[in-house]
Amino acid sequence: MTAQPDPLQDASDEALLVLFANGDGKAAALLTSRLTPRVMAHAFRLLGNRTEAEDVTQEAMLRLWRQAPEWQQDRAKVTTWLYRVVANLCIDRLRRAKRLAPLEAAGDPADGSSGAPEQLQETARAEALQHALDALPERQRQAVVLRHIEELGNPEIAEVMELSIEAVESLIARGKRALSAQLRGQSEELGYSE
Amino acid sequence: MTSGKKTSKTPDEAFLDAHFDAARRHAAKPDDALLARVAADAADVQASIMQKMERQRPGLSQQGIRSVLSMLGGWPAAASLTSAAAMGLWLGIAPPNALTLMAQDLLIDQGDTDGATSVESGFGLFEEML
Repeated sequence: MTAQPDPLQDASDEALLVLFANGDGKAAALLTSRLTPRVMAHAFRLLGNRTEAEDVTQEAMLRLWRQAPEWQQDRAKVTTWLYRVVANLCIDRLRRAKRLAPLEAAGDPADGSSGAPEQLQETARAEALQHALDALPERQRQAVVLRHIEELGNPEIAEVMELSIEAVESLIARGKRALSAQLRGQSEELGYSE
Repeated sequence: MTSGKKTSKTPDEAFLDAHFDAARRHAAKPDDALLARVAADAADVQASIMQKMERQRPGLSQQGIRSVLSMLGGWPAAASLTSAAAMGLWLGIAPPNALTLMAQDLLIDQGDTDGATSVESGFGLFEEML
């Protein structure tokens, strides 16, 4: 017997959120598995601290559930809304703590074969980038992460950050210059030869 | 997957892109405990949303009564209908003599003489009740 494809799998986040607000438990499970990893990854990149990123993730998702009954379909995308909530929560924490969070392990290796030289170099690059991101001003870090890691377009980033597209472009350009300067110092160590 | 959309990159862009690609592949992932907490929050919020909706929805019986009354023409019409039904029931149990005679005449006219003789006041029900 072959399993029937679940029609909800292809539903948009927005449609699933409306179903959630109408009591659909499956929509809740799908949104949890679909959005929590994205929120967690983004929160970690902005905070550089796993424990705090987990707290922010739970809080951001809780706000999403509470927002569900009032969600309007013509509103921004769920992910755009979530990126904004995550950024606000992260910035609040960073400002409250008045410190840069220590870098923890940058997530789990994709395949667990951490001994391979290529894998080690990949991990080193990811960690170096996280260090460099942590040193950027908050808004530059957010813009660079949204553009180059989350791969959002500039108009959507402008919506997330509530800025003009020109301001976003400027933040990204300055952020990348600063990142490049920081990472250059470590390029030999990381196995780059220019 | 690469983040660069351009076909030719400057060395600086390629250098940064290698880091961005590595960061994407090494994204921090939520562990099972976090996923369970998020799912539990979802269940709690969903339950409270459902409770709130239930409280706001009028009771089904009330709604049913209202719609039937509306079809009949409201409360005054329903009161008249109730009175008429009670009167009908009473006439069935204890009809006046005139009604019994009228019923006999009607049946005799139709040639049912056997039936006419059996028609008694109140069809015997009132006497049985007494």
